[in-house]
Amino acid sequence: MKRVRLGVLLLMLSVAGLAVWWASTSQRVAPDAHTNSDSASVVHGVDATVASSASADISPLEFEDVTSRTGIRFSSRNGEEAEHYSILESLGSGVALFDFDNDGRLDIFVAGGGWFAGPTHQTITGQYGKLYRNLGDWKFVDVTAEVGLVGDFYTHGAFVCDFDRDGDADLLLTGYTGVRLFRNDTQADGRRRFVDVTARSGLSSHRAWATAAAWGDLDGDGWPDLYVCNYVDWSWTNDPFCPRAGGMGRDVCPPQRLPPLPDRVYRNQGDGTFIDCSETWGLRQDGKGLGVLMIDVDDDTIPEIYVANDGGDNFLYRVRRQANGAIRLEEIGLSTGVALDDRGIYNGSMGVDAADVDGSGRPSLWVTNFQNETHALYLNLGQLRFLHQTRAFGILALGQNLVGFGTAFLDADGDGWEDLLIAHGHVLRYPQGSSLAQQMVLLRNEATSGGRRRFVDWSQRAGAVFAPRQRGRGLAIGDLDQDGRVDVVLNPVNEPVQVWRNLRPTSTANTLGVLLQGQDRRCLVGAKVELQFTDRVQTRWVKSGASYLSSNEECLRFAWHGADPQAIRVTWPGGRIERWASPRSPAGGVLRLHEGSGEAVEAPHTLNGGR
Amino acid sequence: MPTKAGSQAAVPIPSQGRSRRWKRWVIVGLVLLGVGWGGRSGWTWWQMQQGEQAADRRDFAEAQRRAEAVLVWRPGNLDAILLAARSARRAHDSAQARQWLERYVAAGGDRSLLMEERDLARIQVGELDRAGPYLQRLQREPNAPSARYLAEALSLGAIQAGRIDLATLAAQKWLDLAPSTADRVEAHLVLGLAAAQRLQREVTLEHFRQAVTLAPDDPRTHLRLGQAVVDDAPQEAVRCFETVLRLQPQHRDAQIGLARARRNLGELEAAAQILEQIPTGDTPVPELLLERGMLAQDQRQLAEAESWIRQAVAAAPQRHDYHYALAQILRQLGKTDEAEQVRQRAAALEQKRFGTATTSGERQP
Repeated sequence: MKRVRLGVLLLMLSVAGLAVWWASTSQRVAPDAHTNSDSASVVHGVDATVASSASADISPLEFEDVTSRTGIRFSSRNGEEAEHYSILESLGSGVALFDFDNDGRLDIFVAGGGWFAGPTHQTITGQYGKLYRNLGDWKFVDVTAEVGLVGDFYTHGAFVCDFDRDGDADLLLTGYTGVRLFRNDTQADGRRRFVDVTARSGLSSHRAWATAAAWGDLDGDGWPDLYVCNYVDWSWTNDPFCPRAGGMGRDVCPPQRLPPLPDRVYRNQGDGTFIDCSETWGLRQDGKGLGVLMIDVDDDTIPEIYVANDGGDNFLYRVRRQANGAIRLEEIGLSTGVALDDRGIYNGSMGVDAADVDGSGRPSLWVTNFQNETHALYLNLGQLRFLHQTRAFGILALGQNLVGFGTAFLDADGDGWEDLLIAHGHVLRYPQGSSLAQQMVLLRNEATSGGRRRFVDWSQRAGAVFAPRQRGRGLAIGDLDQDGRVDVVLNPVNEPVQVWRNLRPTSTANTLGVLLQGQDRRCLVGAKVELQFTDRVQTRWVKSGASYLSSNEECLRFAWHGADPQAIRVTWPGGRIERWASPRSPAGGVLRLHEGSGEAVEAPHTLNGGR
Repeated sequence: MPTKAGSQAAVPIPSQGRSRRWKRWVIVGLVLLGVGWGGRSGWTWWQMQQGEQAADRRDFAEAQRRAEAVLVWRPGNLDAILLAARSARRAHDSAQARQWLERYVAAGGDRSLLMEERDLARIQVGELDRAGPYLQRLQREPNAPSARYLAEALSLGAIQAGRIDLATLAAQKWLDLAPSTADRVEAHLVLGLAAAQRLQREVTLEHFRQAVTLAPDDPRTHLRLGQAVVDDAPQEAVRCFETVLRLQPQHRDAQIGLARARRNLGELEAAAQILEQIPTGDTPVPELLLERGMLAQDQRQLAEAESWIRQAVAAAPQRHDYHYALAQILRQLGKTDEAEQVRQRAAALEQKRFGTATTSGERQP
């Protein structure tokens, strides 16, 4: 009997124990299961939303990487494998999109960068880069050697201009200890040859570390003058040790550790030579320029020069043409509000561009900046007044962990409003609170409910090309396949060049490229083109420089939804205004407008007045 | 037949019965007395435990209530008086703390503790003239029972006084003492603020995020994190401020922070709506005035922006960052001479407070 009771008792205890264990495990599991299902639904919810919107609607913005189709396989180098952590390695290289052989197709030049040779790896050398001829249908062929662009030079930038006004696009390269100027000549056999005319032109006197450059007719003689940014006074004998943040060893120095090298401005004398006018025209003796843009911001048809300095006030030079023919460059960055950010401090500025972001008909200035700063959108209020509007345009949503370089305004979605593309990548090898490789960003220009304009990050919705991180630097835009849509070429540091095709679903009938052709092939930087619709006007400017160490295509691109434009109006440098009614997109989508061929418009032009 | 002796044994003797009953009552009485005494001791011990746990949770009102409950039964209990005094002092109720300390001394408490508590009361509000010996003691005897109180007072006072190095040192010591969760939250908040003053963005965020993890229901943790990321990650800041407002719907700092975050996202209309809903009251709120000014600036209403920012500067004339904001709007309005004067004033204020000037006032987290 006792045994039976004991057995029953043990059985009951076992049952009770099992019950307690089951209850406790179910309590333990339940919250986890709940959390998991919650988080899963959240995660899947987000993905599903994006996925469903992506699958249900065709994105108005989409790019695809077509590099593998193009045959372009090239990486510019910076020499970091030598482990010097020199500041020279931080800049990277640019890209130029131009039609060097006048076949109507945009070709690609990629600046090559450099490396450190010799037994101690302290011989600074490099390569000009690679020139790829566009064969059409996204096929390119390397013609670098054929055209004579082979040489050892630690190269950063590539800047295109017909400096001799012979109708062929010439090429200026910038790099460590100077510039190289190549004249684009046609040989007797019809082949193209880039002839190094640096010494002949007088530009071999430029011995400083040159970065960005821009061409524009500053003195009004029709010949393109040259502005060259210089960076800092660095060499192996002036190579400070900069400790790595939060660790042992060294890292790349910030520019604050090195003295500035003043920029130079050269007057084109029209005979193939240039003369250094930096002192006589009144250039500032400071600045660590990495970006420069020439564009007419005050509507007087004379280009201003905007310089993005890395760790100093940005400059805005206004060209003063005096009665006696003398030129003065008046630096007005601080008084116009484009020298500093909205906190009143200078930034580490790299890339630049300008566009009419708000439909005002005025070009606002755009600058990409360093980590812990915001990229700067200086809204043009007219009367040479600018207002830092990064926050108001929603761009601060990107945060402050990115380091911006190449950048361009482009109407990626063809809605008539220029969107914004930015290449990011850090300069420090061991950045704190950020990463070496960073994301490309595409900001779409959208209307707010209040009728304002705002930039919204569309990078996650514009194709898989935006997913991988890279050490972004050079960036240039142009229509590589002549479909009216603007494509992109990127030149990240030590990584293969990328060619992005714009896939936006739009009709080529709703796009128009405009190429201005000045009398006697005069330089047209400063000209303004307005495409007039019934309800609005789209405005573009002939500009030079822009982005970062790169050159965009020369053609001005327009796109629209709905009714065709009624007229196109061009304000030429000097103030002449011409109009063409009902512009039609010709085959190839590029309309060539020759100065003097349009209907003259008598319009009083207010100098510096804006609209 | 029963024997005589047997019959005698069966009959109880009356005097013996009374004596036994008396003894029984004595025993019962003693037992009851023991139970009562033991119960009271147990109860007071339990109250003390509860009081100390409340202090660990930084629920200082509850800690004082528990101490008072102990003192009802044991009016001279020095531990309870000290718990009440410390709790009042840590709750920044100096009058109450003084009363408790007087009672502590009257009850025979250690006079040196009285002096220490008085000093800590001053130190924790930023009067650091007597902080030196306590810092030395903290470093010399990091495991002493009072070390956590010294570390706490030094941390809170130093951060208030802008003594960033001292605040960081003391708060780190405080954390090293493995205090309660609530105290760790406070220490992380101090370390986060100190790192923000040093412009160490990553360290700042790390501490504020730790604080949020430890105290997800504490609106202050979300508020600090939101304020720290409002320019870096405005979307995250929106979430932080909205969490605060869910916990405390009328939290003014969170409302202002949310408006700023919305402004940073370019949602100017939403920001304006939030600011309009904040009751202004009789006393001007400098942060609100400044945010109104900054919003007006983003809305390109520069004259209005100037007016708001001038009011903000008038309401908080010691704030160097407000002066910088005024200098900036004046520069945009073309009032360059006045802008430069204001900028110099801002730099002087910043120099006075931090020993260096950033030229922008960006120190404020």
